[in-house]
Amino acid sequence: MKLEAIEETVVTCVKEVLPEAEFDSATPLEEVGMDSMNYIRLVVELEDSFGIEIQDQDISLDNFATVAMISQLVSRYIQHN
Amino acid sequence: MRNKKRLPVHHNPAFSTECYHQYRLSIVMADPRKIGWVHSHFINLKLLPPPVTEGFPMIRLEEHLDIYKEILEEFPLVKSVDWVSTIRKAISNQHYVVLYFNWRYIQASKYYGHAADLVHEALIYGFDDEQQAFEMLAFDVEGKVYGATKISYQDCERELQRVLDTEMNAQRWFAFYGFPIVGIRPRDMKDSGPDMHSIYFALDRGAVHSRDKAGNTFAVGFPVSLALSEYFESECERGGTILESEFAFWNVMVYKMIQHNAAMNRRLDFLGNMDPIFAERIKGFYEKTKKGLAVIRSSSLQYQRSRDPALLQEISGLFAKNYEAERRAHPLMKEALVFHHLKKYS
Repeated sequence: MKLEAIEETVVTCVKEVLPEAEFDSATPLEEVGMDSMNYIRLVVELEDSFGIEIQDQDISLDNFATVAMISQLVSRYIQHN
Repeated sequence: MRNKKRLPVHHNPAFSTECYHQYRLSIVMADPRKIGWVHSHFINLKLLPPPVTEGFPMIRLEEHLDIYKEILEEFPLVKSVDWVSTIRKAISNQHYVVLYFNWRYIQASKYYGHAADLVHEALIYGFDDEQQAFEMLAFDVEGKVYGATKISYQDCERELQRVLDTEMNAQRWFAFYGFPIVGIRPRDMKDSGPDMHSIYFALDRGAVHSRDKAGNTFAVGFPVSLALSEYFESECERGGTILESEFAFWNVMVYKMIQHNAAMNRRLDFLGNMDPIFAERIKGFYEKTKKGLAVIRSSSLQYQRSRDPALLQEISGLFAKNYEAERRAHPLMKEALVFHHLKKYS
């Protein structure tokens, strides 16, 4: 799966969690409403959409700072799978 | 005048690992109007450090007996003529009776004739003058972990008096647990459904994981699984120091987690029938946890037989997986409650 396609699905997942947010791949998601509660929900959305299981050590706000960073993380899981 | 009366009881409230709750839930769950109340409570487990280094941590429900104040009125039962007529009168007045016996003297008990004392409570919910006996629910009777049995008027009078004569000092710390004898009057309430505020704020409290300077862990809510994962990890590193005498307690604690998980799944079914937002995804995580706990239970028993430290590592990993599932379910559940609440405004 190409990074662009991953990013597209990540954007859909983020919109599911933050339906009113406006952002691009570099926007810090914290600035558009991401917080310690709803980023776990984003984790669940990503796991369901990509069929992956994100390990506990990767579940930190730092890894979910921007769409680009999330896409990189997801890409690693897809490659690993 | 010869008479008989039986108050309604629930024979299996499914919290047998928390006996004080089990008895009260046998009363509460016999009333269908109070099921919403039950689903509004018992959201969190808490973990307390073991009292001795080689012991197993204590896991219990976060809520204690004071929660029943809303729905049950508990009052000391004072002897009038004799205990039989006092208890009989209470039942006639629709009051349940919790009282303590030394079960080594009770024929229906698994402990009958044992050398060691075992003072524990029973819930009397009926009487039958024809048979000259009370009906009661109790632990380890009639071959069941928790079930119904009878005690003759004569035995009840004698055994309650025995407890009063010999146990008042030894058992004094159970005074607020119904010792030596209390009447319980269910409060009248309309069926108001589950209390979403209670569930939400319980979830809000249920995210605590802390450690003191001595390394003792305290946890409430979903981090209990993480604390246990860490506990088994460190046990593995130490080569397995849990005392054999702690194995039974360890098994009870795991079984308590299984019962708590089952209660959460029942709660989600109940809420899911009200609003589909509570179904599917959240339930999926607790189903995953249920499977994890079943494996933990079997691996724990295997370890207790074999003492293979690799099993401690495996149990640690299983608890970590459960923590990850519950960590995801927790915010989803809170969010579902918020959406459900805000629907009223849309």
